[in-house]
This record gives sequence, C-alpha cells and structure tokens, in this order.
Amino acid sequence: MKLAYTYCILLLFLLSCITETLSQSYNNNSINHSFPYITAEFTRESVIIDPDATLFNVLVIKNKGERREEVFIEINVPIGWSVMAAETRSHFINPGDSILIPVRAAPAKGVEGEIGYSLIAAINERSGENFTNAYCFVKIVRKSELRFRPITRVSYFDQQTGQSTMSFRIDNRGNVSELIYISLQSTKNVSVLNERDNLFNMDFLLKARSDTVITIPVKVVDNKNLKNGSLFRVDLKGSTQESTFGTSFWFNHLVSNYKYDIPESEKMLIAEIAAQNLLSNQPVVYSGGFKGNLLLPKKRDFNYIFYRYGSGSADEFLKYSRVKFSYNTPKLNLTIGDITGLSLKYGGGRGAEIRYRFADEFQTIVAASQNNFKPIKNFSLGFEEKYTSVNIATRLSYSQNMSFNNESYVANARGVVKLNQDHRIRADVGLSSVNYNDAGISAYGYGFLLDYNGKFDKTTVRIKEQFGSTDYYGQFTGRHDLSARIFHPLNSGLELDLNATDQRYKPSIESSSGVVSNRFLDNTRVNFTTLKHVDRGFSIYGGPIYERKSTNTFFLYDGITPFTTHSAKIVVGTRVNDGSGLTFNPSLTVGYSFITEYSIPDPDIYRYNINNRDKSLFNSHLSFNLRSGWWGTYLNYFYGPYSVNQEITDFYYNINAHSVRVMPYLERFIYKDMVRLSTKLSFLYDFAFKTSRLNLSNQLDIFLKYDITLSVLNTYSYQLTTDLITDDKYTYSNLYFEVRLTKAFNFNQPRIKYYDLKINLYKDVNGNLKRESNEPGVKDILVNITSIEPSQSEGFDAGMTVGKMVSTKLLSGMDGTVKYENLARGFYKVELENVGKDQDKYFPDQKEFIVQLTGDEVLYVPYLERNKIFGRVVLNRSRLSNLGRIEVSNIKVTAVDSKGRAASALTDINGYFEMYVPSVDHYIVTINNIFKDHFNLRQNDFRANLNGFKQFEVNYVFDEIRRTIEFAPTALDFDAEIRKVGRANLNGMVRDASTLQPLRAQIDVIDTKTGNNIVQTVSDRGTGRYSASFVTGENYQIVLSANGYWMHTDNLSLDQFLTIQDIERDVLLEVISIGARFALNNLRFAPGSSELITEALPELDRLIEQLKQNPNVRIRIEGHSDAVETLDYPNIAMQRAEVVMRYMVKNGFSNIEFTGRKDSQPLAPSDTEENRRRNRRVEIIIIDR
Amino acid sequence: MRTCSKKVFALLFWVVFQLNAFSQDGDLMIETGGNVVFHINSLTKYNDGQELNTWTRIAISVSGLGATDGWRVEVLTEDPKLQGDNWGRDLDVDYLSVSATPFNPASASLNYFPINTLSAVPQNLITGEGNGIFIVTINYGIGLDLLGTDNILLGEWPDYYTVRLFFDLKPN
Repeated sequence: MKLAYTYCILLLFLLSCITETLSQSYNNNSINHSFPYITAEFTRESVIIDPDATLFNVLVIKNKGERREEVFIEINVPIGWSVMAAETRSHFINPGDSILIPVRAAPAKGVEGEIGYSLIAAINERSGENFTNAYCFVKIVRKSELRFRPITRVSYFDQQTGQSTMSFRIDNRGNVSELIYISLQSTKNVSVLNERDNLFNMDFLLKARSDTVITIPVKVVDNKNLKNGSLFRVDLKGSTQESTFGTSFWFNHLVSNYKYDIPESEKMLIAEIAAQNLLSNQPVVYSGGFKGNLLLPKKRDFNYIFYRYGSGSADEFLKYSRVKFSYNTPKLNLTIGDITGLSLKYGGGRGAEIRYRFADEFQTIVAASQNNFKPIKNFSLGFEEKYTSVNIATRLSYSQNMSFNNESYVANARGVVKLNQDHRIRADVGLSSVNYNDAGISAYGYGFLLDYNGKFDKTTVRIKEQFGSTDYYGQFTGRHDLSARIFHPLNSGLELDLNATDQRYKPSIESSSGVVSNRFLDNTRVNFTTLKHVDRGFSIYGGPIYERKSTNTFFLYDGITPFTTHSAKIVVGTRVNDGSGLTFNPSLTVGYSFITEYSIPDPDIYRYNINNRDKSLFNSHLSFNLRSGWWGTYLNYFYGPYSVNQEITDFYYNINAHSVRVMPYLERFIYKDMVRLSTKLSFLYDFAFKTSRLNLSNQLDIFLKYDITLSVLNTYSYQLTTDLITDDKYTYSNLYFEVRLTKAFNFNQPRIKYYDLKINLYKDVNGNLKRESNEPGVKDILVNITSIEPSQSEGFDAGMTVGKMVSTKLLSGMDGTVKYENLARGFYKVELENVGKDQDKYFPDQKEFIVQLTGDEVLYVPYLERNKIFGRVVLNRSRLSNLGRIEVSNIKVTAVDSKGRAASALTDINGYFEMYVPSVDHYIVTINNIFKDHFNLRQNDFRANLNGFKQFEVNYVFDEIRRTIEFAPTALDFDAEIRKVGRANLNGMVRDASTLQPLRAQIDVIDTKTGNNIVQTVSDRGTGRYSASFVTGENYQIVLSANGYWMHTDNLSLDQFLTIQDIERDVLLEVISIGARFALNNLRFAPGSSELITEALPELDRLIEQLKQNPNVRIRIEGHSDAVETLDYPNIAMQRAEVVMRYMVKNGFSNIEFTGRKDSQPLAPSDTEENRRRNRRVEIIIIDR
Repeated sequence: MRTCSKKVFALLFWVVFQLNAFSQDGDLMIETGGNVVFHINSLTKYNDGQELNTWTRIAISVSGLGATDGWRVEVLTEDPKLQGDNWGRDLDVDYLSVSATPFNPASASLNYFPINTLSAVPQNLITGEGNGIFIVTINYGIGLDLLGTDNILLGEWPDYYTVRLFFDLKPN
C-alpha cells in the first residue's frame, strides 16, 4: 500500500513535471512566435532614391526584455541588389539596450522605377526562429527616356501587289515600362493594314531599357488611276504617359513607263474636226481647223492657226474663221491674221502686226487691221523701251469707223518703274480725239492707270486706279476702277486683310453724232477680313463688309434721283481641308441694306405707296462649298436682295429675292487613263420669281492611240419661268450634242526631236555582260533620268536645243524594264538605285551614266550578283575570366579589294556578320580588334579569293589572355598579419615617417578586381587616426595618400567567413624625396613576361594620378628580373620598365626615364620561386622634384 | 511648318453662268459651255495665261422690240473677288477677260466690246438693235497681258478659286 502510495506520489510528481514541461514548452512556443521584447525598425521607413544612387538606412534593434539576447540579423534585398552590410551577423543585446546597424544597399543594375521595393531585416534567434522583421520600403525615382526613330522615310509600292511597309524603332532608355500608344492616320489612296476610317491605333508595353522595331504593312488603294510619282503620307502620332512624338512616312507610287506629253507649243500639227448640233432640230454644223508650231533652228519658229467655225455661207469662209500666222525670231515678230493688240475701242480685226527689236531694250510696233463684221479700220504705231528698272511704251493709233462715219486718234504712253525688289509703280496715260464727220463735231477723251505694288516688311500693299472717260476711244471707256488692298500676316497665324474697291461704269451709246451716256452703275465695297489658321487644315475667318450701290439704270427711274443703298454686313466662314484633298468651306453673310436715295414713281402706274415701303432690307447668303480631287458641289442659298437689281425689285415690287443654287460636278478618268468623264450641273431655283434654270454639261474625252482624242459634248438646258400676274408658265429646253475629233502629229521638229529610251535591267547570271534569254529582269530598281545642258556635254551640236525635262523617276517592274517615251534629243544622266528586297545581292555595272539620245535607244544594264562574305566572332573565354559579359555586336568588319574599294558590315548580337561585295579578284577582310587588351586575335587579315566562289566564310577567333591568380595568401599578407574576414573594420594611424607627427591623409580601400573604390575616408589631422568598415570580398588594397608624401599601398587579401574582423593598420608616409624608391607591390610578372596584369593597374593609375599632381617630379623606372629568367630573357627587365613607362605615358605622365637592372638588385636570393617572384618587379625612383 | 520643294502650281478657276433676261420677250440660253474651268498647272500658263476660245455658245433671243430699239448684254461677276478654297486669299476678278464673236450671220451685225478686265459692275459685252436670234460664241482668258493690263498670275497663291459670272440681257 505504501509502495502504491509512493508510486502514486511519484506518478503524480511525474505527471506534474510533464505537465509543467508541457506548459513551459507551450509558453516558450508562444513567446517564440511573438517576442514582444525584441523590436526592430529602420530609422527611415520609406526611402526614395535615384536608380544610380545607393540607399543608406540604420536598423535599430531594441531589447525590451529582461535578459540578454543574441540576435541574428539577416538583410534581405530584392534580387540583384547588393547590400553593404553583413547579410547575416549576430549581436548580443543587453536588457533595455539597443544596437544601431548602418545598412547601405545598391539597387540592381537595370532596376525599374515606380515599383515598390522593400528591404527586410529579419531578426532571428540562434535556432532560426524569427524575433521580428523590420521593413524599409524603397521607391526608385522614375526616369523616362524614350527615343523614336523612323527606319523608313520614303518607301515605294510594289507594282504588282501595291504593298509597302513602314518601319520605326522605339528605344525605351528609361527605368520604367512605358505604355506606348501609336496612332496612324493615312491620307488618300493609302491604307494601313486593318485600319478603319483611315485610322489605325495600337498600344503596347515596352519594358524598361529595351527597344523594339515595328514594321507595319501599307497598301496603295486604287493605284490604277494614280499618276507616276504620286506621294502619299501616313502620319504617325505616338504618346506615352509623359511624352509625345510623331512623324510622317511617305510612300511613292512609281510605274515603269513614262511618256513625256509634248506640249501643244512644240507640236507641228494638230488637226481638229467637229460636228455640232447633232440629234437636234437645228442643222448640223461642221467646224474644224488646224494649228501648229514649227520650231526652227536658231530660236526661230513659225506658228499658225486656222479654225473654221462652220457657220455662215461658203463665200464668208474666212469671215467666220480664226486665222493667225506668226513668224518669230529673236528680233522679229510678224503676225498676219486676227490682231487683238491695238489700244482702241474697237481694236479687234484682221490685219498684220510687225514687232522689230533694234536692240534688247528697244522695239517698234506697226499694226493695221480691219474689223471682220464692221467697216472699221485701225492703224497703230508704237515704240517700247525696256530697261532693268524702267519700261516706257508709247503708241499712236488711228481708227476709221464707217458705221458712225468717224475718225479717231489715240495716243498712249506707259511707264513702269521698278524702284527695287519691293516697290513697283506703273502709270498709263491715254488721250483720244474723235471726229464725227456727219455731225461735224469732235470729242476728246482721256484715260489713265496708276498701279502701285509695294511690300513693307511683311505687309503688302496694292493700289490700282484705272479710269476712262465716256468719250475716250481707247480701252476702259466709261469705267472707273479703284482697288486697294493691304495684307498683313502676323506670326501667330493670323492674317489681316483690308480690301476696298470702287467700281463705276457709265455705259454709252455711240452713233454718228457722237457718244451719249446718261446711265451709271456704281459699286463701292470695303471689307476687312481677319483670318486665323488654326492648324494646317483648318482656318476661320470673318469680318465686316460695307457696300454702297447706286444706279439710275432701272425701270422706274424718274430721270433725277438715282437708287442708292448702303449695306452693312458681316461674314464668317471656315475653310477645312482634311489633308486628303477634301475641302469644305461653309460661310454665312448677313446684313442690312439701307435705301437712302430712290425715285417716287408715277402713282397712276405704280400701285404701292412708296413712302410706306421698308427702307431697310435684310439679306443673307449661306454658302457651302465641298470639293475633293475629282468631285465637288457648290450650294448657295440667298435670302434677301443681294444685288442692286434685287434691291430695286424688293423695294418697288415687294418681291423679296429668295433663291437656291446647286452646282455639283465631277471630273475623272473612268477607264484607265483613256476615258475621262466631266459632268457639271448648274441648277437655280428662284422662289420669288418661281423660276428654275438647269444647265447640264457632259464631256467625254477618249484618248486613243496615236494621239487621237475623241470628245463627245452634251449640254442640256432647261428653263421654267412663271408670269407672276397670270401664273402662266413658260418652259424652254435645249439639247445639244457635239462630237470632236483631234489628232496631234508628233513630227520631229527641225529644232527638237523626240525619241524613246528603254532601259533593260537584268541579272547577268553568267557574268558575260550580255542579256541572255534566260536571264531575268531586276525588279524594284529606281531609275532617275535628268536632262543635261548641252554646254555640260561634249560633242553636242550647239546649233540644236534640247527639250527641258525635269527629273523623272521610274521603278522597274517584273521584267526589269523602264521606258521613257518622247524624250527630246540630247544628253541625259541616268541614275540607278536598288530599293527592293534584293538590294544587297545585286549591283549594277554602273550606278550612274550619261546617255546621248540621238534616236530610239534600248540600253541593257547588267546587274551582277554580289558575292557574300560572312562569318562570326568567336570568343574563347577563360574559365578564370573576371571580365563578365562581353558584347560581340556592332564590331566592324571591313573588306577591301585590290583597288582599295572598301565594303563593311557590323556584327549582330550573336557576333554574326555578312556583307555583299562585287566580284573582283580578291578581298582582304579585317576586323576591328576591339578586344586587344584582353584577347589575342588568332588571325585578322583574311584573303578572300572570290573567283569561282559566291560565298566566303571568315571567322575571327579571340582567345582571352590567361592570368595568374594567386589563391593562396602571399607572404605580404602574412607579414601584415591580416586574417580573412567577412566584414572588416579597418583602423589605424597615419604619421610622417621622419617626424612621427600625425598626418591628414586620404585612405581608399580598392577592390583590386574591379578597381572600384569601396571605402574612402580621411585620417584625423590631430591624431592621425582613421577607421573604415566594409564587407570583404576577395582582394582589396588599401591606399593612403597625402600631399607631398608618397602614396602608400598595401594588399588586404581576405577570404570571406562569418566573423567580423577588426584590422589595425598604422602607416608611416614618406615625404617625396630625391632618390626615394617606390615599389609597385601589386605588379608581379610571370617568368619571361612583361605583361601588365590587371590587378596592378589600379595601383599604377593612382600613382600616375599622384605624379600628375606633382608634374615637376621626374622618375626613373627600373625593371628587375630574377637570376633564372635573365639567362633566357636578358632584356626582360628593360622590357618590364618599358611596359610601365608606356602605360604611364599613355595615361598622362611622361617625365620619365627607364632602365633595366636585370638581376643586379635582387630583393631576395633567387633560390625559391617565392623569392624569384619578389625579384620580378618594377621600381620607381625619384630622380628630380 | 511649310516646306519648300519642287511642286507643280495648281491654280484652278471655275466660272458659272447665270443668265438674267429682261422680260419674256428676250432670253439668253446656253447652247454649250455652261461651265468654264481653267487649269493653270505650268509655269508657262502662269506667265502667259490661258485662253479658251469659242468655249461657250449662247443664243440671244430678242422679240417684241422695235427695229431701232436697242438692247445690250452685260457681263459681271457676282463678287469682286475670286474666292479661294484653302487660304482665304482671294484674287481680283480683273484677272479674267471676256470677249464675244459672232457665230451666225445675224450676230454679225452686233457690236462687240472685248472686256479685258472683268468687274462686279456690269459692262457692255454686246449691243444690238431689233429682234432676232443671235448666236454668239464667248471667249475667255485669264492672266493674259492684254494691252499691257499686267494681269500676270505669277506670284499668286496656288488654290482652287471660284466665281459666278452673270450675263444680263437688258433693253437700252
């Protein structure tokens, strides 16, 4: 029982222990998951930094508990970031204490902006359980840099498919991914793939630091009706969140045939015959004639026209004809036939005119004519003198008019003075005298003209006044016209336009007793318009208009009081051009006319009480003009009187003008370029007079072969008028048909001859420079032909002239031919450019040549297949390489032929290259050796003998230079008693070596592998103490420098392991003194080698920098070798000194002597390899300062 | 930005007829050529202008007048300016010239007054007396240096210009 009791007690004890243990275990677990007494946080919870900057923050860990805790800190950074703190380290923190841990982190190369990154400091206990975490949120500043570059500017449509492409490159050099929105707007006759309503939109995300090339297919629309050389445009607009960009891509439509349309002025004979009044009740009228221009050598020509209108009787054959023959030389113009150039009231007639130039400045004119239908005879004699700035003309004319039995004399004088480039004045004066023989009276008249054109800066001014009295027997009788205009454009796209016109006319009736004139029509108008060009295709304008109209020419005129109105109007309108040729111009004019003078008619015949009539008349005019390239319509709506006749009608007859006009038209080729239809409709409906007028004109032109044109004209007129009193309607219609046949004869002129030139471009497969039947044509060759002045070409007959021809481009089709028709005899320069897909593979025998065209010519141009040289760059990398990734793109490879002509290509991202070169004897192919510092190129100059071969492969192999890397710690490392640590706290003191006084010096810790400066600090001026802390990698170098002292360097060869090591390094700096020696401790040489190893360069660079700061210091470089290698390489010591000398000179310090000491000054006996290695060195000695 | 490059000048004119007759006794009808279009598309035409001879034929029908009663055909433009489509830079109508020539024997007795410079004010083109059907042809010109009128188009703004042309038949 006692045993049982004892057992129970023991069992209970054990149970309580287990329970306690479980309880403690449970409690411990709960504590492990919360650890409220350990807190950690960064002093800055969020940080914003530049992508190139480093992040600094301080981690604060506090122990709020009651016992000492060991914490393990683990810093977690985003992938690719580097942190400059021990990534895992442990600390003991006393109760109530805290520790501060500085953390510096560098973002990964290529880090993206506008992304929230976080640094997480995990505070763990030894078992790995997490106490707590601290977070630092990092935002990288956004940097946007987008570059847009069109790859194609002008492209050509394929003649068969009508397709082309546009390409552009977008390069995102910023640190954020960009959403790029592209909008393409195509103009007429061109469409982008999948576009809708000429718009194509796309958007895509372009990652940071990446680029893309986008190629978009484009197609020509309706290319059958396009002219050669038609240019079309696709506008690109792009935008991102912060930027916009845009450009235009151009597309050229070219064909392979061109026919020069010989102008009528160069055709020797054009014959025409027409049948009119066909299909009507009227008799058919036949008309016809011929005209031409005979171009003779020495700038002489003979032109003629004879056209019989077909009406009148046979004996009046010439009367109803147009007849004119002219013979022109540089000095003489002789015209016989219809003469119009007489300054007389009835000046027209048939006769002769002679113009003769005595010199360049002076000519005389004699003319005589007789009116075909009236008994009027005219004679005229004139003189003209032309100088550069002054032009004077006088003329005396005589006319005999038997209709009125009068004789008249007119004297004219004209002077034009060009003051300078911007100002020109012209003045005409005319006097006339008329003797009416029946009445025995004489009448005298006069006329004049003053015209001034001027330009003041941007402002242009024109004032023109022209007057002819009623009795004047010259031109402009009874008229007075004054027009003035001032136009001024502003920089803002605004234009100011002031116009004033005052036009008056006094028509006269002439009889044998003189001239009677009792009527007049006056019209004065002043308007000021402001026009604003809002953008390229949209402008808006508007302004006030003032008008005064006055006349006595109306039915109710009382013989005393004229009818006069003053109008005030406002016009507003826009002009819209959508860029594809469609224009839309609506405008609205509204205003009032105020009647200020009017006659009161006889009340017996006039039924309205004129005094009750409204004296103010509202008027408006709405206009819509819509026009595209081949069709359009004009719509005009009038409400209210617009002209003085309508104002009179409104005022006296109470008929308010109200009408609409519609005038649609179209004109286009309806079958290839052979059949052209032109249709024009004009329709008017007058609401007030219930009148409609319709006129429909159709013309069909059929352009046949041999320059024959067949035209069919048709006019349909319809008119409906209504008697407003009886409401009777009257109609009239007329249908007119006419057929016209025209034939042009392109005879070669004595002075200008026309020939055809055909250029046949073919692939010369066998290379014999002859076109064989099995050799295909070369497609997509751009051929440009330009005429050359005879003076530029030898052997041309100077007595002949050539036709002018502007540069004309054609594109070869599938058969490889282009054809020019009707080229004038002469010299032409032909240029060839391959714009097709095969542009690299074939090349012409000549890219440019001159053709002398003296007859129809067929030229054969062989295109030879280019030979291909291709290959790649191969890098043999060392396993121990520390160079990182090496780009093999964009390395230039050049092939030079035996004549020195070079072709080149760049390697792609994989190191491949290819180039197409003409076939010659051989090429020397070389590569630009950009890796020479780190690689040995096995062979550079390859000789490529292409004869018999189409392709030649050349590979360039680069072997990376191998370096010796010391893995074991060196003696110097041990001498310095340096342990390999993961994190080093470097402390020490810097003093003057002679006086032992503390110095202020700069301390740099350099990563010898990368040359990067890891830590930089300075020593205290008073104590000479310095300290630095850094995470250790492999090999470091400590550099101490102070002005006037020699730089001191030491190696820190440190392997990383998980402790923190404090390093004490006291340094004595030596004053720079003559004779002082400076050993380059990092510069070691392999036996027999003088190569500068990479690890030595930072030390040398810093020495050079220090020497450059002391340019008066002159040094001697001494090279040393060990005793063993000196036997095989007696000059190796000198070579080592020379290598260092060259490096220093190359890098900017040249106050140097150098010499080789061989093995005469060893640092240690050459009994071991370690000692020999120390002896293979270079030393710097100060020899002057 | 406007770029300067080689281009073909394109200056187009559209002339539209509207006829006003004085009464039911007189009328004008277009037989052919109710629209006139000038295409100034070469430097030569810019310099020398362009002629359209015998382009339009109109019939003048006059009745109900005495043998010595006079009548006239006036010509005028609806507006003193040729209205441009694109730039708002209008041209003076005095670049245009109009003349008439007889077509049938009856029209040979008429008086013809060539108009070298058109205007918005009516000008006599033809005068005559008595009744009859007179068929005349109308000739047009633009930019012609007629008798030193100096109406050379060179320097004017390339555009598409329009104007409406009126022929009025009126009794004297």
